[in-house]
Amino acid sequence: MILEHDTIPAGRSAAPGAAEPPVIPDYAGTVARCGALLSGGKPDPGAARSIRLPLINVLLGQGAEDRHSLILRSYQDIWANNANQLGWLFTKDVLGSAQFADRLDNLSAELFLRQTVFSDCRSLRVVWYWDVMDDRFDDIFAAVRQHQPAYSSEELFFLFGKQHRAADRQRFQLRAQQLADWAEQTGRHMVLQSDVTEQYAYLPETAPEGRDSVDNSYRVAARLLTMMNSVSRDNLGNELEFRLLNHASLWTVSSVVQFKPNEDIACAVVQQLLKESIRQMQRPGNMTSVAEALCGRGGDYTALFREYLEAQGLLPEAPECLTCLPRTTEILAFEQSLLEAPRRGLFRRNAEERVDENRRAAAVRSLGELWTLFTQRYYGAGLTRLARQPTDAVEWFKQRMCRSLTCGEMVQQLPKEALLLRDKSDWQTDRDTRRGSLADCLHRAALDEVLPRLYTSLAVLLAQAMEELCQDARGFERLVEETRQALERDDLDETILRTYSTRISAIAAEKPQLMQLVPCKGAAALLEQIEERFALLADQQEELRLSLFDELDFRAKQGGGALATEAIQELFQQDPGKYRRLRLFDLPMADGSWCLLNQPDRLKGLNNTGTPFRIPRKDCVERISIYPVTAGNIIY
Amino acid sequence: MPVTKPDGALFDIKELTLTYQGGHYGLSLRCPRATAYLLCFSRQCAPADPQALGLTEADLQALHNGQSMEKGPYRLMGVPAGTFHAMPSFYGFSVAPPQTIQVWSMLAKPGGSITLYLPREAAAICHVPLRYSVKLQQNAEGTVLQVLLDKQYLEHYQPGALYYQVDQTGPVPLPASWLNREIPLAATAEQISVAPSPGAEQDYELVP
Repeated sequence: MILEHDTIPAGRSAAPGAAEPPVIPDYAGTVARCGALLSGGKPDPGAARSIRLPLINVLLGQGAEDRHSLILRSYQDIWANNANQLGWLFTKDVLGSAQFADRLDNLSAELFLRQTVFSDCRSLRVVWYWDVMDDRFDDIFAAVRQHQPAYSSEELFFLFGKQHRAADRQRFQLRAQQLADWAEQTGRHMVLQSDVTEQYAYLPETAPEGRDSVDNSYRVAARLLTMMNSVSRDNLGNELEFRLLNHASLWTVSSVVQFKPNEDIACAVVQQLLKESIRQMQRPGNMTSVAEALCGRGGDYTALFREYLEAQGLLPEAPECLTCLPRTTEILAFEQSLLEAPRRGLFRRNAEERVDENRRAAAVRSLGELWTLFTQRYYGAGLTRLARQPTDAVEWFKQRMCRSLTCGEMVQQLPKEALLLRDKSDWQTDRDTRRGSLADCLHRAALDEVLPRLYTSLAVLLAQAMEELCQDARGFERLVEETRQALERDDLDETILRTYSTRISAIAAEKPQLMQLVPCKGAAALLEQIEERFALLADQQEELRLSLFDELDFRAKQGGGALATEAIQELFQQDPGKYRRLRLFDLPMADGSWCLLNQPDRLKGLNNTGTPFRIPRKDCVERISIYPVTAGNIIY
Repeated sequence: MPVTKPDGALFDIKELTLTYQGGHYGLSLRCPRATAYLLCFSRQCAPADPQALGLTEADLQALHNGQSMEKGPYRLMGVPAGTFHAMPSFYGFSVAPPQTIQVWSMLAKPGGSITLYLPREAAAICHVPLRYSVKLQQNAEGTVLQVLLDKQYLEHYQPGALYYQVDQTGPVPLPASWLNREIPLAATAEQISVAPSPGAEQDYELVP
């Protein structure tokens, strides 16, 4: 069961008197955000459509203004970033009627200049999203009536009203009739949408971005607009445009939409991720010493530090200008010694491979402060970064320790190891005295100076990571289990649960590090970490980001359930009359029906789906039907 | 208010120019209404904010009368307008480059109160650079480079503020101890260049 507002379990809350209040874990939010990562959310950029005419959206009434971002998101689904170039006006712009015409003119002029965004800048489209239940309706209507459309603009009104309550219905009827009369007199085109079904019942809303029926009406309106105003080779939008703008002046729309159950999938994946993580924590420990567990045989921490430095690109490389240092007498003597074969030494071969350390030291010494400045500039970046961003190293060390140690081992072993690390100050590197060019030898000399300082800094950070981990590891297993239970849902589809549990188990066997959680304090911090893990999983595992059709097929193959074709057929066989639209005495036969989807060829062999319209968004399929109506035909 | 922003342009410091003649630096400027100027000398710190200097009315009075004082890292020197404009350029100040000089205008009102005016837009500021020269002497082994700086200013030199570079390889920063001495390099004179490091360009000037 998902708890909307859970509190931190007793015993894990912040200590009394602590300055910061405990953070309330947002279980539902975590699942929702994880679900959003599975929407195939990065729409196929190649499939994004171009915008045809410059478009100005006028949002009238509080309800419409509140849905600004929802409308914009719907546009972005189809038009991607170009949707950000549209024009927007609001109630206050219209009510200040004296300036409205000017504002509209200025905005139009601005849009006409964006010729890279709009493919046809010869005319303009103005679309009105109007919440007719707003208390300022009379003022708004008066202002709208005064507005004269410019000769080069096409206008379309989308009218929205809540009429679920009887009191609302009366108001809606009155206003809708006024608007219908005005549309008839002036030849304006309107799409009137209601939020109830034939039976005056709300439908359960499954759309992730539409939490109520009215939201859905706005989304459908935006979809119609994107169809009408997109450049398309198949001219599907032209047909819709022709119907809406050249025939009757009053329309209503019904829609049926199916989304990929992203949140359910996310929930199943998170469940299994946590189970796998607990399993990892409970594995039997086989550690001889912390150092060996972390650094391999020999337990040499410098090997671990070097691995970190290499992984982060902090191990300095030889700068080109090493060959341009001053040629002091000592440098020249050292260079000469590198060129000459040694003439003494019992083990002649070994002696040949080593530099004369005294000469090297004298060469470096001869540069004095210049050498100090030089090494600071070219070799000091790692130290500076460690000082500025110590948490990067601490987190990296924590990840490494979680890979090698169980929670029990962390609690028992890490405190003393941290003490040992903090006490150790003589970090030495094996002096690299191999022969080479002058630049090679000077580079090694610089590394000999800088590496012990880097190791000292890293040892302190490793000790810090050990202390934090030891503290957080106490009771972490219990926290993970409690969080898993809090995220559990009884209503999860069995096929989803089975399919994704199996899949995540298989991934865990193959890449256990993907399931690895780092001990932390409190459910909120754990949820944050779960989201990070989930994002990594979603990024790496393509089967989590399938399209709606492919996901249905994937599930049918893995864990049972209907194939995509059957599931979609079932959706479209449902009575379109029961979906949201105006209630009518008689429903005209609808030959204007569109199916919006990412993979149109998947509709082959299905009946009653409407003309397919390809959209870049992969995780939904939607059918929209438009019906011409007359004012007298509406049942209020 | 003793420190305030003027409404109009009458107290703006205009055409602030730093001149260098006979080893001395001079300043010239135009400001129609000021009765005195306040020069603020600083080095290696952010330009001063007059409101944050904690100047009292007594301080302003003293400065207006031509006195000097220290405020944190800043050295303040008041100069009456008559003294400042007695010659085309005002040379009556000592400066140890690299240094920054900010100039603000002051007005003594009829009642005797002094007002220090903040700049309305861009601050009136000039940089007194430390002048250095470069000597290159080619020989059989390569080139001997010398970066020369007046010894009296050596203590103000920031380590690494000047660097030398051979072709397009990275810059080699110079500490004070490597200035005014021979630096033997394995390169031709044409390959070697010397320049101030990024951020220090205003503080150092190459004397041809």
